[in-house]
Amino acid sequence: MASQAEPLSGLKTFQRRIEHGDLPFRYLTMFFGLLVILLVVAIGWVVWDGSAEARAEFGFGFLFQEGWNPVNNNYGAWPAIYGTLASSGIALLIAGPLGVLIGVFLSELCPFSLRMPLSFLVELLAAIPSVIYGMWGIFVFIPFFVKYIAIPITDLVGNATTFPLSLLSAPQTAPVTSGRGIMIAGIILAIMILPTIAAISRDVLVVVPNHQREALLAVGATRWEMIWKGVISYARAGIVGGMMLGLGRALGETMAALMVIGSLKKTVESSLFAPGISAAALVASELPNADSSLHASTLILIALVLFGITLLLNAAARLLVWHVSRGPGGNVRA
Amino acid sequence: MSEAEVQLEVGSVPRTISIGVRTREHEKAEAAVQKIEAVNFNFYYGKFKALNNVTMSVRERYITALIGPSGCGKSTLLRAINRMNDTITGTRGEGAILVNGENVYAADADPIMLRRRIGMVFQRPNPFPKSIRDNVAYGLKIAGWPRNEIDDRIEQSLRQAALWDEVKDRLKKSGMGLSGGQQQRLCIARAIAPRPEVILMDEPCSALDPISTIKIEETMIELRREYTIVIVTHNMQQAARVSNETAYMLMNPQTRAGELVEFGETEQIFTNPRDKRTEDYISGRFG
Amino acid sequence: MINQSPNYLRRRVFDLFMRGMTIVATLLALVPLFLIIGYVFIRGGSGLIYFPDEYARYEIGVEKLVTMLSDRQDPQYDRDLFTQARNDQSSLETNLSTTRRYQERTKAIPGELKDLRASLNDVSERIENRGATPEREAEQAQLASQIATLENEQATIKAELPQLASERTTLISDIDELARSARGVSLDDLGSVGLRHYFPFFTESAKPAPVMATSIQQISITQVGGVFHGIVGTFLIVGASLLIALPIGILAGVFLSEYPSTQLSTFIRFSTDVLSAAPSIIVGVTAYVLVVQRTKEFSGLAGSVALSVLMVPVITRTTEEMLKLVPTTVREAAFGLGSPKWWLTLTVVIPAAMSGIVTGALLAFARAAGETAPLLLTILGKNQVTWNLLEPMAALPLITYKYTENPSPIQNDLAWTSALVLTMLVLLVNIMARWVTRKRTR
Repeated sequence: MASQAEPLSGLKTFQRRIEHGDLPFRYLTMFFGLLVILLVVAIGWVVWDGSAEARAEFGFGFLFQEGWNPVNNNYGAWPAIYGTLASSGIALLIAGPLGVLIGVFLSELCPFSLRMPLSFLVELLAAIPSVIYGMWGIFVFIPFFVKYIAIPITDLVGNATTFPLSLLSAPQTAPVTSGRGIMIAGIILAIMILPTIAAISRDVLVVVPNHQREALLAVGATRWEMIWKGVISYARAGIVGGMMLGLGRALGETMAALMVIGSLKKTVESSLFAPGISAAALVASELPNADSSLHASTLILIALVLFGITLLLNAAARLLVWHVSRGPGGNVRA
Repeated sequence: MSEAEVQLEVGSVPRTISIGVRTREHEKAEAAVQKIEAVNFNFYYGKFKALNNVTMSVRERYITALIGPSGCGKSTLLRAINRMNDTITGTRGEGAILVNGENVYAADADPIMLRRRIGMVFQRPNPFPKSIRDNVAYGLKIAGWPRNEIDDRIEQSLRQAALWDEVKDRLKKSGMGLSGGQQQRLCIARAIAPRPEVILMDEPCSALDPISTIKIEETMIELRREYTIVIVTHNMQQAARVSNETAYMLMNPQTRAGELVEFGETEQIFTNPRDKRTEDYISGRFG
Repeated sequence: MINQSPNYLRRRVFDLFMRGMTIVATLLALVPLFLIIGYVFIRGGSGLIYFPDEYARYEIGVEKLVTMLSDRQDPQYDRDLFTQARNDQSSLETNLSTTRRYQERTKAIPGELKDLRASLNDVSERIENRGATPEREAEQAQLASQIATLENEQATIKAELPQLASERTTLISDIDELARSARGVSLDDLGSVGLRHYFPFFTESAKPAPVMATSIQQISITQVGGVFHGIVGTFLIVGASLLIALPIGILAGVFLSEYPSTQLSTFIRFSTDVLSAAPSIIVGVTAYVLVVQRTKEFSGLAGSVALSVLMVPVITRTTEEMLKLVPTTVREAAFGLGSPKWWLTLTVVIPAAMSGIVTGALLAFARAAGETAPLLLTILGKNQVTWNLLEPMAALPLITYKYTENPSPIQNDLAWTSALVLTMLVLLVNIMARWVTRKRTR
């Protein structure tokens, strides 16, 4: 046998030069890997290059100006930025604590037989397309919200102008009965990001080592004290990371916001019950029929700002989640 | 000389085992070909030197055992023969390992062609998650065997691995459904199917129960008629039972590199070791 | 000792309170889930209800009118309308129930008559053959009178049906008149539920809805159409994007898992993170600029490109994770047999990780099928079925959005029903993905 086999070395056949196909295979997969990088570069280039005209025209002061009139080429991004931040902020304010409580329930308190089905239900909530959240918001939640929440509150607060109360005052540009506004967008976004925050909280709580819990129980802590001081404070970086990922999702969400936020593009109203606009919604609603190249370029600039914010937020969140899932210092894992 | 008995103390139970019983028939093949030779072979994992200056040779149709305590480099040496270590990045070999007189560590040597000539059986049974038939046929297809010969060859190799009777009715079933010992014999069948020149076995019985171990050992002795076998084992009785020649390796306490301490006929190593360290290991005082 | 701690009660109560709060929070999260799914199924499902009887539509319309009028508090004016509507409703109900009864009778009577005549013949024959007895004669007379009654009934029904029909026409136009004169009630509102047969919904595409209906009858006759164009569009666009994303995602995933420790792979992994973090609207903007603006046309293909960018990170990461789960020992076995790396990857590693890769593809499919924002910028929407990816196309989420924003309640009904189809699709694919992985782990 040995005599018939070809020699191991010295032969420079094509087969060997390409390492029996491994070399092309490596380059092929590498090519597709590079393609993934190329996609990111393409996105970055498009939003950078596409917004060049607007950047040259306005500079960064544009971000804090009000006004929106494509016919006169009068643009200001502040309503969109304010609407995005306010609605996402409301969403985080509602969904953050709720999501952590759900995570605690799923990881610490839930009977074992319920864990799987409950987690599955929460995941299903995350799978429902956002357009259906928006639609449900319009047809079902807004009528309920206007009747039982918005009208009583605005009646109570009236036309207050001092800062914290003015957030809840009666809106000026549209009657409160129209329903659509920043507050409702925040609530719908909260429902949407709740599963994200709950799932990540559960994941980081589950990996908290048991000795943390035992140590606190051993000194006579109640169950909640054990959870608060032992588990949540141990995993707080991960929980914050989960909240930031949820916030990133809320910032970038287009459809649900577009459908319920009300499209007030010109000014910022002090009341949260008043309509507003979010960056993503503004881009989605105007870019397909942009009037001029400056109009399109302005919209792309807003997209660029949104992209930048979500990227920074996600990078920070991933660092936190990654850090906590390795444990403090990367060594303590029971 | 040909038959000897030695008192081995393993744990607390003294056992008497016979060794070297099959050496006589091999005396005829004394002039056997040197199948594998390691010449001043050094091996590095990155900067760490794992093997230092190993020189030994393996004869054709012999079973050669590599023994020694953990970390002595015996698996590294075994995996250097078919260059399996290449799959770990940052490894490199210096010196030469000759298979049929060709240096497998030559700059332009082709590890893939090399591995097609050298079968390997691993520590844990690792059948592919495919049918039993596909498992054995895998190497044949790579080596480009004619389609019409494949089925015959599958049967032959399963018979040689003493597995045929147990699996002939379920060749289409998954190989993962077999017991541990059967899986390992399936792996042996898979390794011998393309008729390799050498079979390397890396502690093939360490994950198996004693009965499966005996079956595998019987298979090995059967295979010796056709194949050259190099086996790494932790189990000294196993080395004594099956091998013709034995190499004892040890980690150098200063450099932490593995070195060959003694190499010779199994009978001589176990009855009359030349090196003090071998004697300590054999008699259970160390390792 | 512990029980005597001064704060014990306070701590205990706080503990119970917070533990209760976690349960409340979980329930709070599940409530919208059930509300959304419930509404989608009930309201979307009601659009699919098939009414075998066309009259049912009138009843629904009138009932809605009555409810609307009774819900409002416009005193004198509405009360009159309400009374009239109630009267009309009851007359219509009587009319319809009589009509339905008559129609049933019309169908049943011929059969009964046939039976009765057969038995009459029977009796008559017996009388002829065996002679008349009092009982037989009595039976004969009874049967004859029964037949006469039935024939009478048949004649009455025949005469009355057209009367009922004309009465109904009057009633309906009365009700239409009422609806028109009631402020804030549109005929569209009255006719909005259950006006479609379910079959066309899945086979027909959009038809222009009546902008101003002039009667309930008209609405009920108008076929509003279905979402077949959306179903075709969604499957074509998402299918095409899967075709683009699968090779990129799987091969990039192979690169990440098989050549893991290079700088390049770290960079690729970072890129997939960026892609999965990027808002879908940004991806939409990119596809808009690169495809729509270049080709100067909205097209299904532009949508596929955008969706595939959203799919790639999902597929890449799941492929990488799943390939890494394949044990090294199995790879070594193939290496030991002299298999080149590409061959063992294709024949051993990928098949072993297949179910995981399929799960990743399914999840990517589900995510893309529900995406709306990028489609808004790329495919524009269309009312007809088109199989050409180079033209503007329709897709289910886009239809749902557009019909939701449409003021016509009929279109809103369509939106709910297409939302139902979309939700079913997404949930089914998700459950399927879960099922595939479960099968693997078992």
